[in-house]
Amino acid sequence: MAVKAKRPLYKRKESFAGFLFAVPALVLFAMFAVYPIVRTVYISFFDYNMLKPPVWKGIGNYTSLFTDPLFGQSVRATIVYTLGTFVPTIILALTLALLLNSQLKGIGFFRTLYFTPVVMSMVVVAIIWKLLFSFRGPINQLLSPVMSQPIAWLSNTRYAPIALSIMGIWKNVGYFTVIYLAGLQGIPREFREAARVDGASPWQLLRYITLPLLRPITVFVTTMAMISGMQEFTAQYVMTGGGPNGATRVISLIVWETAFVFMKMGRAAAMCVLLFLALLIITVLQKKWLLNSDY
Amino acid sequence: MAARGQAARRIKISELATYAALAIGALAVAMPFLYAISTSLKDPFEVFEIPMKWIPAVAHWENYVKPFKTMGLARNFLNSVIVAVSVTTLNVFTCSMAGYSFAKFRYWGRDFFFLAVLATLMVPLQVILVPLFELVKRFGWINTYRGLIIPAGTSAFGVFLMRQYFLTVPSELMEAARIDGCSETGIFFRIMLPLVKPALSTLVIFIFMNNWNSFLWPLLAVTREEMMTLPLGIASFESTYSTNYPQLMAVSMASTLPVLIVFFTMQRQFIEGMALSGMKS
Amino acid sequence: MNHRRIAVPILVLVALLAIGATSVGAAKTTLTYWTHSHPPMVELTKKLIAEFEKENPDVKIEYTAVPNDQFFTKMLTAMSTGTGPDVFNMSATRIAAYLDSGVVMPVMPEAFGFKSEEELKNAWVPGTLGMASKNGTVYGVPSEYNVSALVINAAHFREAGLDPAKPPRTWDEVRSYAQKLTVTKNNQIVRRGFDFYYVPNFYWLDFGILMLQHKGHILDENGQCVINSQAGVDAMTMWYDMVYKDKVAGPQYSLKDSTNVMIDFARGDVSMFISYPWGLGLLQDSPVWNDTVVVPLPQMDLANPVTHCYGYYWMVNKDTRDGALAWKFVNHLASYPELWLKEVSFIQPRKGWTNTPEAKAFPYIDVWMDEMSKSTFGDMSPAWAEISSAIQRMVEKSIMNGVEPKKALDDAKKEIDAALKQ
Repeated sequence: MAVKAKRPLYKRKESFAGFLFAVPALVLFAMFAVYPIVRTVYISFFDYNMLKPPVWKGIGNYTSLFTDPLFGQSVRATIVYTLGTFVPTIILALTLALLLNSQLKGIGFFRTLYFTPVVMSMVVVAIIWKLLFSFRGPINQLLSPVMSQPIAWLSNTRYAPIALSIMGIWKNVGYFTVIYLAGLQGIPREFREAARVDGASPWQLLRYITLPLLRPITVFVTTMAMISGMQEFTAQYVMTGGGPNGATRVISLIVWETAFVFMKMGRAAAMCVLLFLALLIITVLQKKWLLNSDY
Repeated sequence: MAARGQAARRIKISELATYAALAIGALAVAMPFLYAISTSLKDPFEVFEIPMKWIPAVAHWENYVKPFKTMGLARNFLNSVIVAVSVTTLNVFTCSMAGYSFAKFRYWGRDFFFLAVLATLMVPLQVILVPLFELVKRFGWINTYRGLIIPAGTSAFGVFLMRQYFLTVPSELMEAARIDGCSETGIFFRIMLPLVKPALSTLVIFIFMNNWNSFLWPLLAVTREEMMTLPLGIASFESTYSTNYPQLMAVSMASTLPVLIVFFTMQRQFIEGMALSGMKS
Repeated sequence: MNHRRIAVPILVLVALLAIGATSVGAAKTTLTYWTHSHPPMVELTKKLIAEFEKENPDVKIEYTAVPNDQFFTKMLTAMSTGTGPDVFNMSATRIAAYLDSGVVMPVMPEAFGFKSEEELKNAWVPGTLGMASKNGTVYGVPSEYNVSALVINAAHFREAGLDPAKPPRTWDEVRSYAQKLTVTKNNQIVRRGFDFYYVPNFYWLDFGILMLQHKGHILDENGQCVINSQAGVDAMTMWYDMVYKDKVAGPQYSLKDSTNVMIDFARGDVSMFISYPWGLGLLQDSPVWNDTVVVPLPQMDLANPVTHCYGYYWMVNKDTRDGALAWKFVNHLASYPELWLKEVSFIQPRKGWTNTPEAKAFPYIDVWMDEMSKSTFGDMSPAWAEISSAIQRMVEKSIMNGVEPKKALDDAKKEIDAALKQ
C-alpha cells in the first residue's frame, strides 16, 4: 500500500495503457456473461415456465427455497462432492507435479498419460466409471479378494458419493498437476540450488522455498477447485441421476432440473443467485489472499 | 570423491523411487482408459460379461470404422477444428492481455473488474443459457460459426490463470524495458509474454480442450447438421432406448486423440520453459 | 522460430474466416422438425423426409434429432425465444404442460385429407388421441404408442421345471415363478427371476403399472396427491418384498441405463421383465432371441385387466408460419404405420395398423394388440415432471435404502404437495 502512495505521476499514462490491455476481455465478458447474469437475477423474481410470459412473484422464489428440504439436501451433496473430490485431488496433484518436474527419461509419456483423463469429455468418463463401478464390474472384481460382498457402489447412499469422488479425482488430478507443473517451471532453479547448498533437506526445500513461491498458483487451484466442484453436473447425471434418494443431487443438477425439467425458471434462477452469493461471500472472505499481488 | 559418489547414488535411488511412484500412479490412471479401449473393441453384449474379459474374444475394429462411415462425423470434425482453433486463438490474446493488465498495472477499478470476472465463473451455465441464447439470436448468430466462437472468445478461467502466472514474473523487467524506451505493447509481446510461455501453453491446452468437448452451448446454438460439432455428432449415438457402448467408446477414444496430440506437442514447451529458467542465471 | 511467426497469422486468419463465413439461407419454405434420438427412428425419419421433399419440391425440412437427455433444454430455450421448431415429437408426459401454456396448434383435419375433426378422430384407435387432447380438441397424433407386456426366457422356464406355455398371469404367480427361476451362488444372485427398470426417469412407469393395478392413483380428480393411499402402500410393498423378502430382484444390478434390464435379459441374467415393442427390435440381435416369448402383462385383478402405457406425439408450434404445411408433413410421417412397425418397432395406432403384412409379421402382434385394449396413460399433470422426480426418490429410498414403503410414500406426498403449491 505504501508503494501506491508514493507512486509518481508519470505512471498514470502506463496505468491507462494497462487498462487498455483488459478491454477486449472485459467487453466480451460484459456481453456474454454479465448481461445474462443480470437477466438471471431479474428472472429470479418471476414465475416463468419459458412458454408463458413471466409473472411477477416478488421474493417468493427465495422464501420457498429456504424452507425446502430438497434444496438443503442438494447443498449438502454439493459440499460433500466438492470437499471429497478436490481436497485429495489438490494434494495428489502437487505431489505428482513435484515428481513430474524432472528431466528424467520418458517423463513426457507420464505427463501425457496423467493428463489423458482431463482431455476426455465428462460424459464419456462418467459412462466408463458407471460401467467400472457396476455391481459385478471390474472394480468389485479387483476388490473381491478383500471384500466378502461386492459393494453396490451406485445404488447405496453411503457409497455413491464416494464413487463419484473417486471418479472426480481420477478426472481432475491431471488438470491441477499441469497447472502446478507450469508453476514449478517458473521457479528459478538457483533459488533451490542456493537452499540446497545451505544444507536444506528436501522437505525444508518444499516447505520454505517451493510452496511459498507456488502460492499464486495454489490460490488459483483452490479457487478453481471450489468452483468446478460446485458446477459439476454431468457426472452425477450420468452415473446416479442424482440418486440414490438425492444423495448425489448436486446444485447444478437440481438447478437444471428445476429450470428445464420442472419448467420453473424463476425458481432455478433464485437458486443460482443464492449459490452465487454464497460463493461470492467465500471469495470476498479470501479477498486479501486473492488480490494480494506482492508475492 | 566418496561424497560425490554417494550423492550420485542417492540421486539414482531417488530417480528409481520417482519412477516407481509414477508407475504405480500411471497404472491407476491407465486402468479405466484401458477398460474403455477394451470395451470399444467388444460386441454390445460382451460388454457386460461376468467376469469381465480385458481382451475381447474377437477384436471388433469395425466399431471405429462404422460410425465414421454412416454419420457425418467428418464434417463435425472439421467444424470442431475450426471452432476450437478460433476460440483458442482469441483466448490466447484476450486472456493473456487481461491477465497481464490485472497483474502488473494499478488503475482505478482494477480489483473490481478482476473480481467481477471471477464472479462470472460462479454462476452455473445452465441458467444463463437462456438469456445468452436470446442475445446470440438477436445478433443473428444461430447456426453460424460466429455464434459458436465469439461468446467463447474469452474465459474467466484463462484470465485468472494468466494473472496468477504474471504475478510470478518480476516487475523489474518491465521497468528496465521502459527505461530503455520500449513501448507498452512491445514490453508485453517481446518481454513478458515469452516469459510465461509454460503458462501460455497451459492456457492453449485447456481452452482447446474445453471447446473440443463443449456440448451444451453448441447443442443450443446449432440446429443444422452441417454446423454441428463433434460432441453433437457423438451424442447422436445415444439413443433414448439403447446405448451401443462399444461404438460410443470407439468414437470417444478417436475424438480424444486430437486433444492428446495438442497436449503432447505443447508439453514440450514445459521443457523449453525449463531450459529458459536455467538460462536466466 | 520462423514457423511460429507464420503460425500466428495463419491462426488469426482461420479465426477471421470462420467468423466471416455466413451460412447461406435457402429460398424455399423451410420447416424445422425435432425429435428425440433413437437411431432406427432417425433413419426412417430421414427417408420419409426425402420422400416428402421430392413430392413438395418447394419445401425443405430441417431435421434435428436431439439427444433425449437434452431435448427439453433445447426445446424450452428455443420456445422461450421464439425459435422453436415448426414440428416436434413430444413425450406424452410433457404434453399437459405444453397444452397448459397454449403454445401448440390444434390439428388441421384438412391437412390430413379429412373433412372434420370427428373424421380424424375416427381414423385412430379409440382412446389413443386422448393424451394430446384438451377439452375435446386434438393437438397431436401418436408417433409411438408404447404398451407393455411381459417377456420371458423359455429356456430358463424349462430349466426350472416350469412350462413356458403357462406363463404367470398374476403378480402373485410372477413372485412364485421368480423364486423358482432365480439362481443363487455363494449367497449371490447370479440370475434374477424378475426385475424392474431402475432408470431415474422411468421409475414412474413401473410404479405406475403397479399403482393402476392396485386401483390406486397418484393424483385424484381434483389434482390432489393421493400417492400414499393403501393402494400405493400395497403397490410399493410388492416391489419392496420382491427385493428384500423374495430376493429375486435388486437395484444394485442396474446400471441406471434405460435398457439395462433388457441387456441383462439378453445375456440370460434375468428370466422375466416388462418390455415395450421397441424392446423386441433390440432383442432380435441377442443370443436369447430364440428363447424369448412375449406374454400378457401380469395383473392384480384378472377380471379387470389394466396396463400403463406411454408415448410420443407429433405436435405443431402455434407460431409456425404455415400450419397447413406443417400438419401436411405430420400426416406424411403418420401415413406409414407398417414401416414404423417393421423398421423401428413402434406402434402407430392408426386404424387398420394391424392389417398390413408387416404387422402380421411383427413378433407377438396379438399380445401387443390385446395389451393395447387394456392400456391407459395414468395420471398426467402439468407438474408431472416434479411428480416423477418425487417418485424417483421414493423408489430409491424404499428399494435401495430399505426404508419402509409407507414412510417413503408419505415423504413423496409431502414433496409432491410442495411442488404443486409452488
